[in-house]
Amino acid sequence: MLNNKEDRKYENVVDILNRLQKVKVPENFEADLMRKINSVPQSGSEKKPQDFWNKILKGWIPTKLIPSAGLAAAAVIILFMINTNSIEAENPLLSEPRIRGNIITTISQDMPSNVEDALTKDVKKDELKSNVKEKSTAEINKEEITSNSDMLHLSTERPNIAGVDIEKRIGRFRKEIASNLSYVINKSGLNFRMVNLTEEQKNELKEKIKSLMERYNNSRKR
Amino acid sequence: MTEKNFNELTDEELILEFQQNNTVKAFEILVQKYKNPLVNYVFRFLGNYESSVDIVQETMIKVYRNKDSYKSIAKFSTWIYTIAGNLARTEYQRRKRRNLFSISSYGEENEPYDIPDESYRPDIITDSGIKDEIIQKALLKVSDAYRDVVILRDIQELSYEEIAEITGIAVGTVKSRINRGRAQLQKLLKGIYKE
Repeated sequence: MLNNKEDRKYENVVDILNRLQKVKVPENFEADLMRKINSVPQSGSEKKPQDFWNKILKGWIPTKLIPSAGLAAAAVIILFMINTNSIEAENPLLSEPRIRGNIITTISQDMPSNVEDALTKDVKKDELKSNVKEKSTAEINKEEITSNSDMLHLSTERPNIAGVDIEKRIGRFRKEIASNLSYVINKSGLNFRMVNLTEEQKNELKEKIKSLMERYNNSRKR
Repeated sequence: MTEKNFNELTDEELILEFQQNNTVKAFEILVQKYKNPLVNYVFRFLGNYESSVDIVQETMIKVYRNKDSYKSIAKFSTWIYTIAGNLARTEYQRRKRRNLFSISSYGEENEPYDIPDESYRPDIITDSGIKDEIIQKALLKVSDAYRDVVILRDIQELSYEEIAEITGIAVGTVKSRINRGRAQLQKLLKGIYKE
Protein backbone atom coordinates (compact mmCIF):
# COMPACT_ATOMS: atom_id res chain seq x y z
CA MET A 1 0.00 0.00 0.00
CA LEU A 2 2.87 2.30 0.66
CA ASN A 3 3.25 3.26 -2.92
CA ASN A 4 4.21 6.89 -2.71
CA LYS A 5 6.24 9.37 -0.73
CA GLU A 6 3.35 10.54 1.42
CA ASP A 7 2.41 6.99 2.36
CA ARG A 8 5.95 6.34 3.52
CA LYS A 9 5.96 9.58 5.51
CA TYR A 10 3.04 8.34 7.60
CA GLU A 11 4.17 4.71 7.59
CA ASN A 12 3.55 4.22 11.32
CA VAL A 13 0.01 5.55 11.20
CA VAL A 14 -0.82 3.51 8.12
CA ASP A 15 0.58 0.40 9.75
CA ILE A 16 -1.45 0.93 12.94
CA LEU A 17 -4.66 1.47 10.97
CA ASN A 18 -4.00 -1.61 8.83
CA ARG A 19 -3.59 -3.77 11.91
CA LEU A 20 -6.86 -2.62 13.47
CA GLN A 21 -9.17 -5.49 14.26
CA LYS A 22 -11.85 -5.98 11.61
CA VAL A 23 -15.34 -5.48 12.88
CA LYS A 24 -17.89 -8.08 11.81
CA VAL A 25 -21.65 -8.12 11.58
CA PRO A 26 -23.67 -10.19 14.08
CA GLU A 27 -24.61 -13.74 13.14
CA ASN A 28 -28.27 -12.98 12.53
CA PHE A 29 -27.48 -10.16 10.12
CA GLU A 30 -28.81 -11.85 6.97
CA ALA A 31 -31.93 -13.14 8.71
CA ASP A 32 -32.71 -9.65 10.02
CA LEU A 33 -32.03 -8.17 6.64
CA MET A 34 -34.36 -10.54 4.77
CA ARG A 35 -37.02 -10.04 7.42
CA LYS A 36 -36.78 -6.26 6.94
CA ILE A 37 -36.87 -6.59 3.18
CA ASN A 38 -39.95 -8.82 3.28
CA SER A 39 -41.75 -6.85 5.97
CA VAL A 40 -42.07 -3.67 3.94
CA PRO A 41 -44.11 -4.21 0.77
CA GLN A 42 -42.04 -3.48 -2.27
CA SER A 43 -43.62 -0.95 -4.57
CA GLY A 44 -42.33 -2.09 -7.94
CA SER A 45 -38.74 -1.08 -8.37
CA GLU A 46 -39.40 1.77 -5.89
CA LYS A 47 -39.02 4.47 -8.45
CA LYS A 48 -39.88 7.77 -6.92
CA PRO A 49 -42.63 9.55 -8.84
CA GLN A 50 -41.17 12.53 -10.58
CA ASP A 51 -41.81 15.80 -8.90
CA PHE A 52 -44.29 18.14 -10.60
CA TRP A 53 -41.71 20.91 -11.01
CA ASN A 54 -39.09 18.42 -12.15
CA LYS A 55 -41.40 17.30 -14.92
CA ILE A 56 -42.06 20.84 -16.06
CA LEU A 57 -38.61 22.33 -15.68
CA LYS A 58 -36.57 19.31 -16.70
CA GLY A 59 -34.26 20.34 -19.49
CA TRP A 60 -34.87 24.05 -18.91
CA ILE A 61 -33.21 24.56 -15.58
CA PRO A 62 -30.50 22.49 -13.86
CA THR A 63 -32.02 20.20 -11.23
CA LYS A 64 -30.25 21.98 -8.40
CA LEU A 65 -31.87 25.28 -9.34
CA ILE A 66 -35.43 23.93 -9.46
CA PRO A 67 -36.28 24.84 -5.82
CA SER A 68 -34.98 28.40 -6.29
CA ALA A 69 -36.83 28.72 -9.59
CA GLY A 70 -40.04 27.54 -7.94
CA LEU A 71 -39.54 30.05 -5.15
CA ALA A 72 -38.98 32.86 -7.63
CA ALA A 73 -42.11 31.89 -9.56
CA ALA A 74 -44.13 31.87 -6.33
CA ALA A 75 -42.77 35.31 -5.43
CA VAL A 76 -43.81 36.71 -8.82
CA ILE A 77 -47.31 35.25 -8.47
CA ILE A 78 -47.69 36.75 -5.00
CA LEU A 79 -46.43 40.10 -6.30
CA PHE A 80 -49.15 40.12 -8.95
CA MET A 81 -51.81 39.09 -6.47
CA ILE A 82 -50.89 41.79 -3.95
CA ASN A 83 -50.37 44.65 -6.38
CA THR A 84 -50.82 47.78 -4.28
CA ASN A 85 -50.62 50.17 -7.24
CA SER A 86 -53.52 48.63 -9.07
CA ILE A 87 -55.61 51.19 -10.99
CA GLU A 88 -58.71 49.15 -10.47
CA ALA A 89 -58.50 49.51 -6.73
CA GLU A 90 -61.51 51.44 -5.45
CA ASN A 91 -60.99 54.41 -3.16
CA PRO A 92 -63.51 53.94 -0.35
CA LEU A 93 -63.65 57.73 0.28
CA LEU A 94 -64.71 58.45 -3.30
CA SER A 95 -67.17 55.65 -3.76
CA GLU A 96 -70.90 56.11 -3.37
CA PRO A 97 -72.43 54.61 -0.26
CA ARG A 98 -74.46 51.54 -0.80
CA ILE A 99 -78.19 51.99 -1.00
CA ARG A 100 -79.94 49.88 1.55
CA GLY A 101 -83.12 49.15 -0.32
CA ASN A 102 -84.41 46.75 2.26
CA ILE A 103 -84.64 49.45 4.98
CA ILE A 104 -86.49 51.89 2.69
CA THR A 105 -89.04 49.33 1.64
CA THR A 106 -89.62 48.32 5.25
CA ILE A 107 -90.36 51.90 6.24
CA SER A 108 -92.71 52.47 3.33
CA GLN A 109 -94.61 49.32 4.14
CA ASP A 110 -94.85 49.66 7.90
CA MET A 111 -95.44 53.36 8.36
CA PRO A 112 -97.99 55.82 7.06
CA SER A 113 -96.75 58.18 4.38
CA ASN A 114 -96.73 61.24 6.67
CA VAL A 115 -94.39 59.51 9.13
CA GLU A 116 -92.21 58.30 6.29
CA ASP A 117 -91.83 61.86 5.04
CA ALA A 118 -90.98 63.03 8.50
CA LEU A 119 -88.14 60.55 8.74
CA THR A 120 -86.32 62.19 5.89
CA LYS A 121 -85.96 65.49 7.79
CA ASP A 122 -83.67 66.31 10.71
CA VAL A 123 -83.73 64.04 13.71
CA LYS A 124 -84.91 66.63 16.22
CA LYS A 125 -87.44 68.14 13.90
CA ASP A 126 -88.41 64.67 13.02
CA GLU A 127 -89.15 63.74 16.59
CA LEU A 128 -91.11 66.93 17.28
CA LYS A 129 -93.09 66.72 14.07
CA SER A 130 -93.89 63.09 14.53
CA ASN A 131 -95.21 63.86 18.05
CA VAL A 132 -97.37 66.67 16.71
CA LYS A 133 -98.61 64.52 13.86
CA GLU A 134 -99.38 61.69 16.18
CA LYS A 135 -101.39 64.02 18.34
CA SER A 136 -103.25 65.42 15.38
CA THR A 137 -103.95 62.03 13.92
CA ALA A 138 -105.20 60.88 17.31
CA GLU A 139 -107.58 63.84 17.43
CA ILE A 140 -108.78 63.16 13.91
CA ASN A 141 -109.28 59.56 14.80
CA LYS A 142 -111.38 60.55 17.80
CA GLU A 143 -113.53 62.81 15.63
CA GLU A 144 -113.83 60.22 12.94
CA ILE A 145 -114.73 57.50 15.39
CA THR A 146 -117.35 59.64 17.12
CA SER A 147 -118.82 60.70 13.81
CA ASN A 148 -118.77 57.14 12.68
CA SER A 149 -120.53 55.96 15.84
CA ASP A 150 -123.08 58.77 15.43
CA MET A 151 -123.58 57.67 11.89
CA LEU A 152 -124.10 54.12 12.96
CA HIS A 153 -126.52 55.29 15.60
CA LEU A 154 -128.33 57.34 12.93
CA SER A 155 -128.46 54.47 10.56
CA THR A 156 -129.95 52.12 13.14
CA GLU A 157 -132.36 54.53 14.82
CA ARG A 158 -133.54 56.43 11.82
CA PRO A 159 -133.43 54.16 8.80
CA ASN A 160 -136.33 55.78 6.97
CA ILE A 161 -134.99 59.36 6.97
CA ALA A 162 -132.34 59.02 4.28
CA GLY A 163 -133.82 55.98 2.57
CA VAL A 164 -132.21 52.82 1.17
CA ASP A 165 -129.65 54.71 -0.91
CA ILE A 166 -128.27 56.41 2.17
CA GLU A 167 -128.04 53.08 3.98
CA LYS A 168 -126.03 51.59 1.19
CA ARG A 169 -123.75 54.57 1.09
CA ILE A 170 -123.31 54.48 4.87
CA GLY A 171 -122.38 50.82 4.65
CA ARG A 172 -119.82 51.57 2.01
CA PHE A 173 -118.59 54.50 4.04
CA ARG A 174 -118.18 52.31 7.08
CA LYS A 175 -116.08 49.96 5.11
CA GLU A 176 -113.97 52.76 3.74
CA ILE A 177 -113.58 54.35 7.16
CA ALA A 178 -112.60 51.04 8.63
CA SER A 179 -109.99 50.59 5.97
CA ASN A 180 -108.85 54.20 6.37
CA LEU A 181 -108.54 53.87 10.12
CA SER A 182 -106.35 50.82 9.80
CA TYR A 183 -103.17 52.82 9.32
CA VAL A 184 -103.69 55.05 12.36
CA ILE A 185 -104.72 52.38 14.82
CA ASN A 186 -101.86 51.23 17.01
CA LYS A 187 -100.99 47.90 15.58
CA SER A 188 -99.50 46.38 18.74
CA GLY A 189 -101.39 43.27 19.69
CA LEU A 190 -103.87 43.62 16.86
CA ASN A 191 -104.50 41.39 13.97
CA PHE A 192 -105.11 43.91 11.24
CA ARG A 193 -104.75 44.38 7.57
CA MET A 194 -103.00 47.51 6.45
CA VAL A 195 -104.10 49.19 3.25
CA ASN A 196 -102.09 51.98 1.79
CA LEU A 197 -104.29 54.51 0.01
CA THR A 198 -103.16 56.62 -2.82
CA GLU A 199 -103.60 60.37 -2.75
CA GLU A 200 -106.53 60.10 -5.12
CA GLN A 201 -108.29 57.58 -2.94
CA LYS A 202 -107.63 59.69 0.13
CA ASN A 203 -109.10 62.79 -1.51
CA GLU A 204 -112.07 60.84 -2.71
CA LEU A 205 -112.64 59.50 0.77
CA LYS A 206 -112.35 62.95 2.31
CA GLU A 207 -114.92 64.33 -0.13
CA LYS A 208 -117.26 61.51 0.64
CA ILE A 209 -116.92 62.08 4.36
CA LYS A 210 -117.46 65.76 3.87
CA SER A 211 -120.60 65.30 1.80
CA LEU A 212 -121.94 62.71 4.18
CA MET A 213 -121.34 64.97 7.17
CA GLU A 214 -123.14 67.81 5.39
CA ARG A 215 -126.09 65.58 4.64
CA TYR A 216 -126.08 64.36 8.20
CA ASN A 217 -126.03 67.90 9.55
CA ASN A 218 -128.74 68.92 7.16
CA SER A 219 -130.93 66.04 8.20
CA ARG A 220 -130.44 66.93 11.86
CA LYS A 221 -131.39 70.55 11.20
CA ARG A 222 -134.62 69.38 9.62
CA MET B 1 -27.32 -21.16 -12.95
CA THR B 2 -25.91 -23.09 -9.98
CA GLU B 3 -24.65 -21.63 -6.72
CA LYS B 4 -21.10 -22.47 -7.73
CA ASN B 5 -21.47 -20.49 -10.89
CA PHE B 6 -22.83 -17.48 -8.97
CA ASN B 7 -19.77 -17.49 -6.74
CA GLU B 8 -17.57 -17.25 -9.78
CA LEU B 9 -19.29 -14.11 -11.03
CA THR B 10 -17.89 -10.64 -10.47
CA ASP B 11 -19.82 -8.11 -8.41
CA GLU B 12 -20.97 -6.33 -11.54
CA GLU B 13 -22.19 -9.57 -13.07
CA LEU B 14 -24.03 -10.47 -9.89
CA ILE B 15 -25.87 -7.17 -9.67
CA LEU B 16 -26.69 -7.45 -13.36
CA GLU B 17 -28.13 -10.90 -12.74
CA PHE B 18 -30.17 -9.50 -9.86
CA GLN B 19 -31.35 -6.60 -11.99
CA GLN B 20 -32.33 -8.61 -15.03
CA ASN B 21 -33.63 -11.88 -13.55
CA ASN B 22 -34.37 -10.74 -9.98
CA THR B 23 -32.15 -13.57 -8.73
CA VAL B 24 -32.14 -13.22 -4.95
CA LYS B 25 -29.21 -15.61 -4.72
CA ALA B 26 -27.02 -13.11 -6.54
CA PHE B 27 -28.07 -10.45 -4.06
CA GLU B 28 -27.33 -12.75 -1.13
CA ILE B 29 -23.81 -13.36 -2.43
CA LEU B 30 -23.24 -9.63 -2.65
CA VAL B 31 -24.52 -9.20 0.91
CA GLN B 32 -22.22 -11.98 2.07
CA LYS B 33 -19.27 -10.33 0.39
CA TYR B 34 -19.81 -6.74 1.50
CA LYS B 35 -21.47 -6.97 4.92
CA ASN B 36 -18.25 -7.10 6.94
CA PRO B 37 -16.16 -4.55 5.01
CA LEU B 38 -19.07 -2.13 5.14
CA VAL B 39 -19.77 -2.57 8.83
CA ASN B 40 -16.06 -2.11 9.53
CA TYR B 41 -15.99 1.10 7.47
CA VAL B 42 -19.15 2.54 9.06
CA PHE B 43 -18.11 1.55 12.56
CA ARG B 44 -14.70 3.20 12.19
CA PHE B 45 -16.46 6.34 11.02
CA LEU B 46 -19.28 6.44 13.60
CA GLY B 47 -17.81 4.58 16.55
CA ASN B 48 -21.15 2.98 17.35
CA TYR B 49 -21.60 -0.69 16.56
CA GLU B 50 -25.39 -0.95 16.72
CA SER B 51 -25.85 2.04 14.46
CA SER B 52 -23.23 0.70 12.08
CA VAL B 53 -25.05 -2.61 11.71
CA ASP B 54 -28.32 -0.78 11.14
CA ILE B 55 -26.73 1.42 8.49
CA VAL B 56 -25.26 -1.56 6.66
CA GLN B 57 -28.65 -3.26 6.72
CA GLU B 58 -30.22 -0.11 5.36
CA THR B 59 -27.56 -0.03 2.67
CA MET B 60 -28.39 -3.57 1.64
CA ILE B 61 -32.11 -2.79 1.59
CA LYS B 62 -31.42 0.19 -0.65
CA VAL B 63 -29.41 -2.01 -2.99
CA TYR B 64 -32.25 -4.53 -3.04
CA ARG B 65 -34.97 -1.97 -3.69
CA ASN B 66 -33.03 0.32 -6.01
CA LYS B 67 -31.14 -2.27 -7.96
CA ASP B 68 -32.22 -0.62 -11.21
CA SER B 69 -30.45 2.59 -10.19
CA TYR B 70 -27.10 0.89 -10.57
CA LYS B 71 -25.42 1.65 -13.87
CA SER B 72 -22.89 -0.85 -15.12
CA ILE B 73 -20.42 1.93 -15.98
CA ALA B 74 -19.50 2.20 -12.28
CA LYS B 75 -17.89 -0.40 -10.08
CA PHE B 76 -20.35 -2.08 -7.77
CA SER B 77 -18.01 -1.64 -4.81
CA THR B 78 -17.88 2.13 -5.22
CA TRP B 79 -21.67 2.25 -5.60
CA ILE B 80 -22.33 0.31 -2.41
CA TYR B 81 -19.64 2.23 -0.49
CA THR B 82 -21.19 5.49 -1.64
CA ILE B 83 -24.58 4.44 -0.32
CA ALA B 84 -23.14 3.30 3.01
CA GLY B 85 -20.96 6.42 3.29
CA ASN B 86 -23.88 8.74 2.65
CA LEU B 87 -26.02 6.97 5.23
CA ALA B 88 -23.17 7.02 7.73
CA ARG B 89 -22.57 10.75 7.24
CA THR B 90 -26.30 11.48 7.57
CA GLU B 91 -26.45 9.47 10.79
CA TYR B 92 -23.35 11.17 12.11
CA GLN B 93 -24.78 14.63 11.43
CA ARG B 94 -28.13 13.66 12.94
CA ARG B 95 -26.48 12.42 16.10
CA LYS B 96 -24.28 15.46 16.27
CA ARG B 97 -27.27 17.77 15.99
CA ARG B 98 -29.28 15.96 18.60
CA ASN B 99 -26.30 15.80 20.89
CA LEU B 100 -26.99 12.14 21.55
CA PHE B 101 -23.78 10.98 20.09
CA SER B 102 -20.97 10.86 22.60
CA ILE B 103 -18.22 11.44 20.05
CA SER B 104 -16.93 14.52 21.86
CA SER B 105 -16.50 12.47 25.01
CA TYR B 106 -14.48 9.77 23.35
CA GLY B 107 -11.25 11.51 24.17
CA GLU B 108 -12.08 11.76 27.83
CA GLU B 109 -11.22 9.10 30.33
CA ASN B 110 -13.84 6.90 32.04
CA GLU B 111 -16.27 7.36 29.18
CA PRO B 112 -18.08 4.26 27.88
CA TYR B 113 -16.70 2.73 24.74
CA ASP B 114 -19.08 1.02 22.38
CA ILE B 115 -18.22 -2.67 22.06
CA PRO B 116 -18.18 -3.59 18.40
CA ASP B 117 -17.52 -7.28 18.66
CA GLU B 118 -17.47 -10.05 21.23
CA SER B 119 -13.69 -10.09 21.04
CA TYR B 120 -13.81 -6.61 22.65
CA ARG B 121 -15.50 -7.87 25.79
CA PRO B 122 -13.64 -6.76 28.96
CA ASP B 123 -13.12 -10.35 30.14
CA ILE B 124 -11.21 -11.22 26.99
CA ILE B 125 -9.63 -7.84 26.44
CA THR B 126 -6.07 -7.99 25.30
CA ASP B 127 -3.24 -5.60 24.75
CA SER B 128 -4.22 -5.30 21.12
CA GLY B 129 -7.80 -4.67 22.23
CA ILE B 130 -6.72 -1.71 24.35
CA LYS B 131 -4.68 -0.40 21.47
CA ASP B 132 -7.67 -0.69 19.15
CA GLU B 133 -9.78 1.26 21.59
CA ILE B 134 -7.22 4.04 21.76
CA ILE B 135 -6.86 4.13 17.99
CA GLN B 136 -10.61 4.24 17.54
CA LYS B 137 -10.87 7.14 19.99
CA ALA B 138 -8.12 8.97 18.14
CA LEU B 139 -9.81 8.29 14.82
CA LEU B 140 -13.04 9.82 16.04
CA LYS B 141 -11.15 12.97 16.98
CA VAL B 142 -10.04 13.51 13.40
CA SER B 143 -12.18 15.88 11.31
CA ASP B 144 -15.10 14.15 9.54
CA ALA B 145 -13.88 14.87 6.02
CA TYR B 146 -10.37 13.58 6.77
CA ARG B 147 -11.53 10.60 8.82
CA ASP B 148 -13.73 9.32 6.01
CA VAL B 149 -10.95 9.20 3.44
CA VAL B 150 -8.34 7.89 5.88
CA ILE B 151 -10.61 4.96 6.76
CA LEU B 152 -11.29 4.21 3.10
CA ARG B 153 -7.62 4.35 2.27
CA ASP B 154 -5.78 2.86 5.25
CA ILE B 155 -8.41 0.52 6.72
CA GLN B 156 -10.52 -0.46 3.72
CA GLU B 157 -7.49 -0.28 1.44
CA LEU B 158 -9.25 1.30 -1.52
CA SER B 159 -7.44 3.13 -4.29
CA TYR B 160 -7.38 6.92 -4.52
CA GLU B 161 -9.55 6.73 -7.63
CA GLU B 162 -12.16 4.61 -5.89
CA ILE B 163 -12.18 6.96 -2.90
CA ALA B 164 -12.57 9.93 -5.22
CA GLU B 165 -15.54 8.22 -6.84
CA ILE B 166 -17.13 7.27 -3.53
CA THR B 167 -16.74 10.68 -1.93
CA GLY B 168 -17.34 12.66 -5.10
CA ILE B 169 -14.21 14.75 -4.79
CA ALA B 170 -11.11 15.07 -6.96
CA VAL B 171 -8.23 12.63 -6.56
CA GLY B 172 -5.89 15.46 -5.58
CA THR B 173 -8.24 16.58 -2.84
CA VAL B 174 -8.55 12.98 -1.66
CA LYS B 175 -4.77 12.71 -1.36
CA SER B 176 -4.39 15.97 0.54
CA ARG B 177 -7.25 15.09 2.89
CA ILE B 178 -5.75 11.68 3.59
CA ASN B 179 -2.43 13.25 4.46
CA ARG B 180 -4.02 15.84 6.72
CA GLY B 181 -5.99 13.12 8.45
CA ARG B 182 -2.88 11.03 8.89
CA ALA B 183 -1.01 14.02 10.29
CA GLN B 184 -3.75 14.56 12.86
CA LEU B 185 -3.67 10.88 13.79
CA GLN B 186 0.10 10.93 14.06
CA LYS B 187 -0.13 13.61 16.71
CA LEU B 188 -2.87 11.76 18.57
CA LEU B 189 -1.14 8.36 18.46
CA LYS B 190 2.41 9.34 19.30
CA GLY B 191 2.46 7.10 22.39
CA ILE B 192 1.23 4.04 20.52
CA TYR B 193 3.47 3.77 17.54
CA LYS B 194 6.62 4.45 19.52
CA GLU B 195 6.14 1.12 21.27
